Amino acid sequence: MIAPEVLAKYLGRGEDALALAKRAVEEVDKTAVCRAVEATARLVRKDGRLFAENTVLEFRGSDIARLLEGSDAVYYFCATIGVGTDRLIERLKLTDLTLAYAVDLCAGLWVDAYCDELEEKQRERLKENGRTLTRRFSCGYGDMPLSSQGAFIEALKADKFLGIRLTEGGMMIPSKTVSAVAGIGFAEKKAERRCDVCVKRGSCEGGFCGD
Amino acid sequence: MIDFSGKIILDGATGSLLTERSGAPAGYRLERLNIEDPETVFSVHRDYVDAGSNVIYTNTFGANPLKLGDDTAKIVRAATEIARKAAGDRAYVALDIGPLGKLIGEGGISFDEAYENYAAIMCAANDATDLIAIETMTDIADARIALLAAKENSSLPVMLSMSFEAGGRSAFGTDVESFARIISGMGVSAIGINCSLGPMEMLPMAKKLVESTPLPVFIKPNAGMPRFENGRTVYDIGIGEFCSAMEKIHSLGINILGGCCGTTPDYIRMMNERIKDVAPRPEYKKVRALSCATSTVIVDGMKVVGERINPTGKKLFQKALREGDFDYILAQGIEQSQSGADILDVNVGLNGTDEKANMVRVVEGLQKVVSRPLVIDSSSPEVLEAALRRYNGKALINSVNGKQSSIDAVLPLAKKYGAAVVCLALDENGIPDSIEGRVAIGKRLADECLKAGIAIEDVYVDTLTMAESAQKGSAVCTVGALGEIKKTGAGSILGVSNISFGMPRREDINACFLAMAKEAGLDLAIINPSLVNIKSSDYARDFLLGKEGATDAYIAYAAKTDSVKAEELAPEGAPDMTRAIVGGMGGAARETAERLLKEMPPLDVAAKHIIPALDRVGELYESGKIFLPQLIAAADSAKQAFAALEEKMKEGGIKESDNRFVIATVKGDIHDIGKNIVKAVVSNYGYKVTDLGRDVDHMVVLDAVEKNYPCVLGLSALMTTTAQNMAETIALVREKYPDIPVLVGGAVITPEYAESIGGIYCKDANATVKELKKIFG
Repeated sequence: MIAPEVLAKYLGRGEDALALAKRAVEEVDKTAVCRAVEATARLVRKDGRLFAENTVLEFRGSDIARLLEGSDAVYYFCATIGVGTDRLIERLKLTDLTLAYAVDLCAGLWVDAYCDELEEKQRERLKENGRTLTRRFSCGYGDMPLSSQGAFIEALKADKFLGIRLTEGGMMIPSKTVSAVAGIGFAEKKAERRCDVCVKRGSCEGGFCGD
Repeated sequence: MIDFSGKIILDGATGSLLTERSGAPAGYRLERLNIEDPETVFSVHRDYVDAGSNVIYTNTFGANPLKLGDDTAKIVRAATEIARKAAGDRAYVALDIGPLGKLIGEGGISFDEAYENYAAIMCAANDATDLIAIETMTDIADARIALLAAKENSSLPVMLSMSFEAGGRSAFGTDVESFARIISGMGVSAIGINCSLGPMEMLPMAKKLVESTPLPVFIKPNAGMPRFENGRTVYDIGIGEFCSAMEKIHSLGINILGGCCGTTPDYIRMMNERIKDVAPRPEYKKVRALSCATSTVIVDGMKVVGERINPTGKKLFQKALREGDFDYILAQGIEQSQSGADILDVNVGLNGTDEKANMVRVVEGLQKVVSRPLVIDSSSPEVLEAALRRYNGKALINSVNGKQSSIDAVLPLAKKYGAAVVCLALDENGIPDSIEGRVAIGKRLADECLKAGIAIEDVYVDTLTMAESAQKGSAVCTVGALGEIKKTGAGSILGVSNISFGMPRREDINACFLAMAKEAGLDLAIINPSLVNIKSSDYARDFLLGKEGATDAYIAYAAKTDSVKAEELAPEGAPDMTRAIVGGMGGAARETAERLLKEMPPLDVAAKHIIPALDRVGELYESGKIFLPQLIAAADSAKQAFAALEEKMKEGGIKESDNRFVIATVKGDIHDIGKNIVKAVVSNYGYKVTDLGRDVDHMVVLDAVEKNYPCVLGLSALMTTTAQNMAETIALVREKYPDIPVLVGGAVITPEYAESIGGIYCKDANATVKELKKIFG
């Protein structure tokens, strides 16, 4: 659940924004069905490449390699709020573009919040064994290619268990779906801002993604 | 030949067992083991046969050209040979077909590509198995295409199962009942549910499925949902628990049972031992039903068929069809479903337009935005078939009539695609004037349907509504024939509004006629949904019953009530345009425009009132006093004011602006909300916007530029992968039009990237308007 006040911050100030945010939150609450497939695996380093053990999943790119420095295992998952919200947005685009915009934003925050929840639960579980979890990282962040998305889906059978499909452009459907990996280790890692690996770095006017 | 009415024990999981026995990594294409490690594949099949499976599925779940490329045929053939060898004469072999794993439709692969991929599997297997098992489908589109490919490329019986989540819907939103209604009519031998859930969670769904289909049902649950821990896949439901739940499923009259992910030969063995006999199935209750992918309408009382997706007599609709403004048409569907239509009629026949292409586009579009079954309405069998092929539902075909040519062309389509059909009570000799004449044709058509294999509950006879004003007695004849038809067991359908043609206050007459037809047992009323709740008047009833003097009395009544209504609606003190638009009040903006149009020409209303209002909105937005939602709301309001102007201009023959802007979200990208905002804002400034939609191929963009040149092109992209398509589109267009200005935007586009691909960066809708002003002057 996203607080309307949080969504309103992205929509603008004033009572209008809050009223709109409330409607958007209500709509998303009616349609979102949060589901996920999660996995843990040992991290295998081979010829300078990184893999989740016993899977086809390779973590490519220097940015993810930096995040996983010091990790000996990984936690990876695919999470979605389902196809109902996509249908809602499609419908609203034809009847109420204002609400469509707000619902689209809200749905994005919704799946992110769900991922935060999954990540936090995993962090708590690991903590009991004296282990730590880095923040999560997704395909398309920094130089981790979007084309890795397919391997996440295959390794987690997310197509079978969550019904996730890829578009030709590598986007996951339902559109509010996230696949991500985080490193499991023994030491707390200094947090990096998400902006450091963002493609809009330098031209962003700020504030959008929350960082 | 396999007997689906008896007890059949299917196999259990193939994939999870193969992973365990072969040591293949998670995500590996296990179908490759048919070539690389055939002994292991054989051992899995053999163990299931030893455990008592009467049917084993080949190891071909993901064996399709999209996943295995050119190796597909070789792998499929190897799989069938291994399974055949393991089955011997102890079990049947089913060619296993899983989903393609790609999105079908916008942004993904096309219907035809999906079909070709499925057909390639059938062709590779070349009927070397005993049957085909299409399974684990989550998208009903996928399921239907696989089934069509099976029926058209093989003569084997087909079993088809989908996967549902705990809420009773597939990941793509299909519910169990709709799945049953849609697939049961399409020629499968058995229908089932597999994967995703454990047997206890599947129990209520199994019950629903048995109630919703006359066909044999099969259930193949998981041993629970998997957990992936330290590289191992773990399932929680043990053998005893699994088998106890399967006994409960069996007691519903379900005699075809197996297991999916996480189950092993031990599960199958114990299940086979525990389930001995054939459980009796409760009698299937026949109902009239129509479905779309996400809901089913049971016609157990009068249901409303929305009639507004039809160009006849509607200028704006015709314009939308000619200009390819599908958003307008889809919005009509949404509005009708929101105002009470249970089902939507779709007719896009208009001279000078490509009816087949438009029908497919509208049917595909409506499926994404409304959850209502569709009536496919066309006089062309070719158009009907194109729509039925793509429609992910159980449709109603509108229509067949008593002419032999119509019967021969339409009924096989209804049978093949599992659709219901409207039978018009007319033939080579036209429309009979008598009740008896219409009933005779209706009955003959119902018989023809039965002969063609269409169930009586899928037949709806239309006894044809004719204008009462043109021929006295029409209403009585239509309703009388309807009553007779209902006695035969067939359903009934009527277009309602034709009855009042040529009369004042038509809604009164329509409402009354509707009430009469409902009393006679009308099942489906094709009507404007908002009419359903209008109370019919005695004046209208007397008119329709053909009483002496009733026509004059009705006209006098209509004249009186109409004048009262006009007075009530007279506008007073409307707010000015800026207040209306800045406040996002669409209705007020339109009213203000209409008032101003009485005082000045349309272009003045635009220049002196609407544009300044929009400029004010722009200023407020730029200065941070209003925000994007208000900007969009203002643009939407202005659109309504412009709609009033547009209508006036058409009356007066004034030309629209000729400053053209062609806009598209590039190929591969389906995230178009930003583009839609740009379109809404820009069109209010009077630019003629051609919106090509999203996931637009380079060539389609080039064609549109050719049609509109000189024009400005606008492209948007959300993803880094599709930004490349933006560059390619620009390069292609510039080959032919080197000087065309191209405005680009979208989440991943930066000013530097824009410049590098020859585009002008626009950060939002306002920036786009500014650039257009610069270009057009």
